[in-house]
Amino acid sequence: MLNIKNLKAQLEENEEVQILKGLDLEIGDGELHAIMGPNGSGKSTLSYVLAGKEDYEVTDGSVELDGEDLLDMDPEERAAAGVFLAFQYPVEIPGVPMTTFLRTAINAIRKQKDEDEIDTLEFMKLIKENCRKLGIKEDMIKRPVNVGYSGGEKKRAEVLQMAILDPKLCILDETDSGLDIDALKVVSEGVNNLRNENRSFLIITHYQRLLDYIKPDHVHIMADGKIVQSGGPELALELEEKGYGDLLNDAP
Amino acid sequence: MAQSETQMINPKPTWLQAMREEAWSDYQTSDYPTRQVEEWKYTNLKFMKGADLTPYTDAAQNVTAQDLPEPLLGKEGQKARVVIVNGVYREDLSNISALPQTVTVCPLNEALAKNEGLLETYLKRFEGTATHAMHALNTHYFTNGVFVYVPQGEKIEQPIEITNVTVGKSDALACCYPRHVFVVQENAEATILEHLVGSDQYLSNIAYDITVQDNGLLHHYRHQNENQNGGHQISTTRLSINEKSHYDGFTLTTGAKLARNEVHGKMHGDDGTCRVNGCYLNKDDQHSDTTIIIHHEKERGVSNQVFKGILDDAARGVFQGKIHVHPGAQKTDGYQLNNAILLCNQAEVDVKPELEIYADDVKCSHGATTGQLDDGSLFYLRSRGLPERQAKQLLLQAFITEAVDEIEHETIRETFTELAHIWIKTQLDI
Amino acid sequence: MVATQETIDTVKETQGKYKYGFTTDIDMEMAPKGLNEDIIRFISAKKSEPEWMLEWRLNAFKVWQSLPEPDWAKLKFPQIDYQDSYYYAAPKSDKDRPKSLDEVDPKLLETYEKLGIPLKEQAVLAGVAVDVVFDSVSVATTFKEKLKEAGVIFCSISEAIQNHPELVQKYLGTVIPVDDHKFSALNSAMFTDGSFVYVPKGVRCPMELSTYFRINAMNTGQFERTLIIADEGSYVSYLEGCTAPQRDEHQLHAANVELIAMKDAEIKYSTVQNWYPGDEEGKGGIYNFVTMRGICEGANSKISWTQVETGSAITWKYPSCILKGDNSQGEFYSVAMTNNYQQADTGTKMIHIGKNTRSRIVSKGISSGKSDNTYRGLVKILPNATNARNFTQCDSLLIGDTCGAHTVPYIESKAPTAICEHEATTAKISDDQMFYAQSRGLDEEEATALIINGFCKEVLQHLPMEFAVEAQKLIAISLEGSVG
Repeated sequence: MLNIKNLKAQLEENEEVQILKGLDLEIGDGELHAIMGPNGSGKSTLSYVLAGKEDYEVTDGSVELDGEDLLDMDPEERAAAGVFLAFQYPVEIPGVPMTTFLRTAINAIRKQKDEDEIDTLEFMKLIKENCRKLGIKEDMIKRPVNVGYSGGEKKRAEVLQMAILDPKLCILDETDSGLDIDALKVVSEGVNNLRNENRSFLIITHYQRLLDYIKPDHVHIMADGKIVQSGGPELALELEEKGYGDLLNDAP
Repeated sequence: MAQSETQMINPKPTWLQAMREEAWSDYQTSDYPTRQVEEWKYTNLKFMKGADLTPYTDAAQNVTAQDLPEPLLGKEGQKARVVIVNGVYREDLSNISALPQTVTVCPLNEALAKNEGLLETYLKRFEGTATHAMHALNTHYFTNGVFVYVPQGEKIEQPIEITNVTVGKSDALACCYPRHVFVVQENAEATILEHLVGSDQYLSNIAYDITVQDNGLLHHYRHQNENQNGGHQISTTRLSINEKSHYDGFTLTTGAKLARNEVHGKMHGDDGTCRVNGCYLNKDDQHSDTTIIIHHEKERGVSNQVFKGILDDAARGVFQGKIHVHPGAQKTDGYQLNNAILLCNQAEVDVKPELEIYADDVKCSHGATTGQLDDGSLFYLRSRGLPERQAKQLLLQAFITEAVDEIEHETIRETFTELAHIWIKTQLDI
Repeated sequence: MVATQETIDTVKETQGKYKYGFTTDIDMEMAPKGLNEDIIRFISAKKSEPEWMLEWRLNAFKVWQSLPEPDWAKLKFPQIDYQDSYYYAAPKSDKDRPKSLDEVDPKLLETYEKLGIPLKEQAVLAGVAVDVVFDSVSVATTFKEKLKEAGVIFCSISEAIQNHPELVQKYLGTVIPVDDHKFSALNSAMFTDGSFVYVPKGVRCPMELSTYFRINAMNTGQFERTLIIADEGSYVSYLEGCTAPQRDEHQLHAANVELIAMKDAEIKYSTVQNWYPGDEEGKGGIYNFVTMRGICEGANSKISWTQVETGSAITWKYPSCILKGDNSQGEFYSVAMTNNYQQADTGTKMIHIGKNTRSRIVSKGISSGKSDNTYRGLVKILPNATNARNFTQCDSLLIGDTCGAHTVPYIESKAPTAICEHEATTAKISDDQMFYAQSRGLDEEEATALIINGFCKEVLQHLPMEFAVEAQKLIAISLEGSVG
């Protein structure tokens, strides 16, 4: 599914600071990988670079999605190719109702794939069904995108978009931040429902808490722009016990 | 001039004669609008240099029904329509039969013939309101216009559309002077919708005298779509807002090479509401100037000015808004917002939101921003699959919606939203 | 809450009288009244100025004659009779200029003590180097030696003209051109003294520099000129305080202040202006027409203006920043209080020329009595100022219904990547706030002073500590008689 080789990246406007310093990662079809790491290790940068944010400049390495060069694509082309980033801080867009936004996004992706626009009834059904699953009230999606949403509502809205846009690679950037335990359960359940053999996940998180609800196949520890240790779910538990300090010192 | 028979060029009553003469002397003695005059710091009238200022009414009959734009609310939606061409009333193109008999909608010359006293009262109501030389020119030269009089307690649902067409000259600037007088009496309600268009080179110098009496309500919406290449418009609106009366105004500016939309609102009674909102969508070398001053003279008045602007290419937007709270106008609530987005390096915006306050128990605020589309929002939309152009359009539409949503009349709000969205989709090269 | 208690005490103690309204009985040497070339020659000769300086003044005088009075401010005052004022007044003892503080006329020192700045003790304790301008002449500069060690030049502008002519010639009039407007030309022709600061490359000025201005003599105009140059990578903080005695007639004060910040340099300029505001009937008081402008010449430089304006019958003052260097920053923090018949028209100009330039404006206006208080400001973004940012916040507070509060901001943007944000509010002290404070035992006046100090906090916190305390007191005093 996803193949990252020796990825190096820096901030567009500050060329002196390299953030990703040669990162390698391979995610197979249907796999769920978690990346954990201390603040400033470059986790969020990785998610932005994969989604194509222009503030970052890739200086070396490659990223392929099902054999296609991801780095060569615009953000919208990546979305059409199946990349979905659930933002740590979803952006507020006053004046655009969530429903309008969702429909525009579905049709934009369909158009890029030369597919017909979604029919109104089908769209309504899709929204209704997914809202119900995620416990989203209908009046919320009538409001402008993320404007006045609580922390939990924002994250649910991200998962709603994920469900509706039907991506193959889902990247979740600190989705657990700002969530209370109930919201965390709903969001995790939403993610778990979306897991299947054709869809892969990259979960970026600081705490292992989220991984109690979303079970990873592989866990990686990131520090200083690289993956420094990889393992199974037990690695997250070990991290929980020892903390980043100890574990990073132990690392080879 | 054959037109003068049916229009108002040869005023018979002495009061009107006197008013016109006084205006001429005002024009000659007042500061001619140049950039040295504070109120005209950002708008230059050099295009008028050497122009023949006398009203150009010769082309008034050149327009046929086929030349007219569709009514703004569509053929089905719009029944009552008044057509003014070059400041001349075109009865043959107008249709006011759909309006209730109780309401007066007629050209000024007819109002003068049938009810001179009434017209005199409402034309003179604003004497002493300081304006500027261009307004004085209108008073001196105005040829005709629409008189709308909604009597006490009368509520008309049907919007009255005024289609204002200006046929200019290809080789020189033609000057036209429509003058409109709207009166909404106690407890009455009306909706006036205007569409302003034109061709070739001209200056449409329009003036409005609007009175909303106690408990009255007037919706007044304008789509200014003058000729972008040679059309100029200077409009001066004088408003009298009385006790518990409500004025809801909105101007959608997409047209004209140069436009100045100037509004002087006076809150003459307690508990009045004065809403003067709009958006300006400009590109190429268009210049649009919005200048508003709202005088809060009585207590508990509410005023609202929300403007949004999009400026592409070398377009220039000017917003000068002032809330003036007079002594004793306690509990005034004044709000002013101007947000502008510049899409191109040559574009420019000049903003001067002013507060002048002489009462202590008031709540007045203003906000102004200028900038470009937010990168974060743009990336968010693109990461959801929207191509860059579509993402930008969506954000610009959303940006404009916040101003258009101020329109209280639902159907017209939808129409104007659509007009603004079409402009964003078709006129911008982003 | 120490400051607050002090504020309250001061309010009680002063009982609404202008605290600094005493005159000092010192022998004065005056030039004849009036404004003409002879007076300029007299002043120049008195100061043994070089020929180039005299020429510069005479040229400025010609310019002054040709310029109209600026009329755009929202101020009402009678035509100024420039001929009915003295342009030069110096304490007689100037003839034998004091070599050290010990030799300063004890009466002068007493004056400063009344002003609350006993030079010796307080200067030493506070570590502030003080230059004192009394009417027209700089009388003493403390800490000169210590500054010398650091390489900082801090002296009166008259001395600088004598001792550092190359610096003065190079920079004088470069930020505020002589022909900028009527008052800048007047100052250029007539300036009698002022301060000069030069901070060399890489030097962080070891102490706060300070000037105290005082107008003492009758019918005198004061035209001081200040020039501060911060060379590459240097830092200086400069404070200016002003007072004047109580006089029935209006007195004119037209200062010019020029700041120049080179690459990576920072200048912080603070003013507490408490010139005599006139009495309750609007009689007397200083006409304060001040031009202050700084240029961020080099990349990453910064100029920060902080002002507390409580005095003067008329204040006409717009400390501005020309942000020429890339990434340079300008700041303007202002509190302007007006009472009785005072008029203030003050604000700033931020001219963004360089890339990534930033500016921040925070203005708090408080009007009471029959006064008028106007914020007037310009934010101008030129086409090359890509990614420029401005934030402006203007808040006005009205106390009573016979005063006026006005906000006149201009925003001119020619760069699409620039972001300007402007917010302004006008309100009165809420009944809830008053009730809350009063229910805790404060009387109306105390409560008002407390709330107003809170309203101004964002600005006051930018003042150096010892000034902040004084500013809080001043605010309380200025409020006197405005409540109830």
